[in-house]
Amino acid sequence: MAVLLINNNDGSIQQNKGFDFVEEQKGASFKDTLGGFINEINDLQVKASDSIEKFSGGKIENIHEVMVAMSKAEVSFKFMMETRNKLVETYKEVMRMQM
Amino acid sequence: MGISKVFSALDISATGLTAERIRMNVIANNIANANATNSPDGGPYRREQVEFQSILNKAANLSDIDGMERLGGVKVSNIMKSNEPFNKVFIPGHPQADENGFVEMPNVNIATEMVDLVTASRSYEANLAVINSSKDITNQALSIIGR
Repeated sequence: MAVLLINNNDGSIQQNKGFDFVEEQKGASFKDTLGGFINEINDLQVKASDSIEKFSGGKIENIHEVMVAMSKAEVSFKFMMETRNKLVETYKEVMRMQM
Repeated sequence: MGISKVFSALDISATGLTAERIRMNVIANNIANANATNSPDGGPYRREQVEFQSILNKAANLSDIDGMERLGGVKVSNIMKSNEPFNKVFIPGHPQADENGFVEMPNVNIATEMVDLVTASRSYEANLAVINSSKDITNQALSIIGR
């Protein structure tokens, strides 16, 4: 992050290179990680409903495949809900902060 | 991928369930054909047995114990025909009877098949127990963050 300093003598704005120590993070942002994560959970949900459809269409003969797909979807959804609850809780905590 | 690694135990046990189901189907076929004196191969029905083979994920590094990616589960590699001799039963007048009145019956022993059936059923239950247990521990780990 570059810090802009206003030079009081002539009112011009100049960039101070000396404060340029906070570099832009190169890794995936929190938003991207969360987005990819939710996509993955959505994929599992889609797979589960897909396997239910296939099972009722007679394309899958093993019930346990459907059950495993459903339990994966269930557990990962629960994981997402826990993460969401924690996020909302954190947000509320910050909003309650006294200024 | 990220979250799918959490469910590796589930996938491994699912291969076990599939294998046991195939074994049960083969046993059902043996019992159903216990009195079949004719088969497409000629002669009486031959008893069939499954052969299990463990799946090794060759793509993964074999020394990689942390990743557990080399564990792939089990599969039915082969369904073999038994070479045990056929049972000879004295039934004169039977279309398949030889000149002495003996008929070759399938080499299926119902008692053996029932024991195999119980074994397959218990193995299925064992795999189910692993699935339930791994699901339970994941749920319990999720409760760390929850109140």
